[in-house]
Amino acid sequence: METNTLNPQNIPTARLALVTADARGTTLYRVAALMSLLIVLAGLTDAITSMGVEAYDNRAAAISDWLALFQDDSFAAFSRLGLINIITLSLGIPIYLAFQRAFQQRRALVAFASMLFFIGTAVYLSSNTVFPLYALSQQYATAPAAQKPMLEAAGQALLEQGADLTPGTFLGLAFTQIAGILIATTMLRSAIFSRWTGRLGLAGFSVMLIFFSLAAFLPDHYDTAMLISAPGGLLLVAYQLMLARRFFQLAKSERMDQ
Amino acid sequence: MSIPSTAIQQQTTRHAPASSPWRSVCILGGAAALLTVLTALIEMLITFLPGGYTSAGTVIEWFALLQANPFLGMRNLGLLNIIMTALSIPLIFALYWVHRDTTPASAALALILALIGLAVFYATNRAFPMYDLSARYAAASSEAERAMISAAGQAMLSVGQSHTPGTFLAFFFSEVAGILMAVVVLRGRLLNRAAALAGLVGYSFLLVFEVLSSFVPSSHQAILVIAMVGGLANLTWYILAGISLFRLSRFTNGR
Repeated sequence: METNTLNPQNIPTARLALVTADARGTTLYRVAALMSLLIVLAGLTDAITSMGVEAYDNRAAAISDWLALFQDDSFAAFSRLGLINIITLSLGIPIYLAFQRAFQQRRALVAFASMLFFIGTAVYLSSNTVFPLYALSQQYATAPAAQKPMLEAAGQALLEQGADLTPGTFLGLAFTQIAGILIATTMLRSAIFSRWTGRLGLAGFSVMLIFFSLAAFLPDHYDTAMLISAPGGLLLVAYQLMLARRFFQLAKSERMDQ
Repeated sequence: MSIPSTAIQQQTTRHAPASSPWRSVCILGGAAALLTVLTALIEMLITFLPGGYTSAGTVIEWFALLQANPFLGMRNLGLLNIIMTALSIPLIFALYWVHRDTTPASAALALILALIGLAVFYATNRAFPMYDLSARYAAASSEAERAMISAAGQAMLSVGQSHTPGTFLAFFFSEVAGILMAVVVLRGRLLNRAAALAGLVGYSFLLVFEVLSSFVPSSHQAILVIAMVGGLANLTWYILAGISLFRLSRFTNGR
């Protein structure tokens, strides 16, 4: 037992030694910058692998086709059913913590936006059913013919509940996009991030919110929705790149301030 | 390292261990940690009781188990995990609270990841709905009704059967949060160093276990060994972290 480190008289000394890079914010800014770059990488991977593939509403494909796709081309199935969104939303968590530190003067609005983002992420992760569908596809592949209709019915329920870009996953995505719009608005009102970063974010998140709404509730206009998503995605790639650059600058200035 | 003296004064004043909120948070966190150990020991004990190792494969077998022994059926669907997850809230909050000035960013990140993990866990756990569905299955009067209920049950199992791809995200977030919090404790030096190391080993092994059991279920032997090491290290983490939090709650520095 390290009783000496628990001695109250040692606490100020310990604290003195531990006003670390973590407390200064340099680590947080660097991590946030790295996460922004990883989001760009995930977005580009999604865009490149989707090229030349026919876009269609996830509900339009038969459940047996989805279960077969998991076995034939796991990446395509995972990607189409929302794995990329799961990754990008998870990577966004440290970024919102970094916003909390960067916007010292507008804490209330940023705290509200962060709360929306965290709730949206939790809701999306809970409602997305890509992993349960993968588990079901494993069973389906080895199930006897008599059991397949039951597995298909279960899969259909999962598809309705949590296929990406459907009403089942809309709320989580909507919350996170609204959080993004609020942060971009905050950027426009402060001098921490450039106005261009704010404008790109505002346009990108707004376009994506429209895209998610159209894809979820107007499946007949899926092609129109996809046309909107392309510029929205590009705007957000540019936004994330500018965010990464600025976070690296903030990390550097925090380090030099010490 | 040059540190503004005002910042240090601010930190030590804000976090005087003698203060009442500090004490309450530490005591609550410590008690939650030790209660988690107790729940884990009960879980182990149940496994060694007659029928304790019984589980089910198909959805019909799950319904039968839930009707024959509701407690065992729900326990196999994560009933005790529901309790342990609830107990983890005061613990993770206490750990965040005591480290919120020494490593604020990492501690906050660990707290948020843990809270997201437990929100996902509660939202996807299917112990209670499966019990309800098993009663409907038992009362079903036609074959068509039973087939419909079986399909609904299968969908629920795909989402909420522990240590399968369906529950992967919840456990993944909780374990990553645990690793991060253990690193925070290690760097913070306010709690026992051995606790942090046990936490680091425990959560890392449990993370590997989660990945293997969800996506490489064929590696049974390796999974068992990894789960055992992870589980034991995790119990050590809870015991030492709990004791350390109790100790920390007792300290006064004259303020």
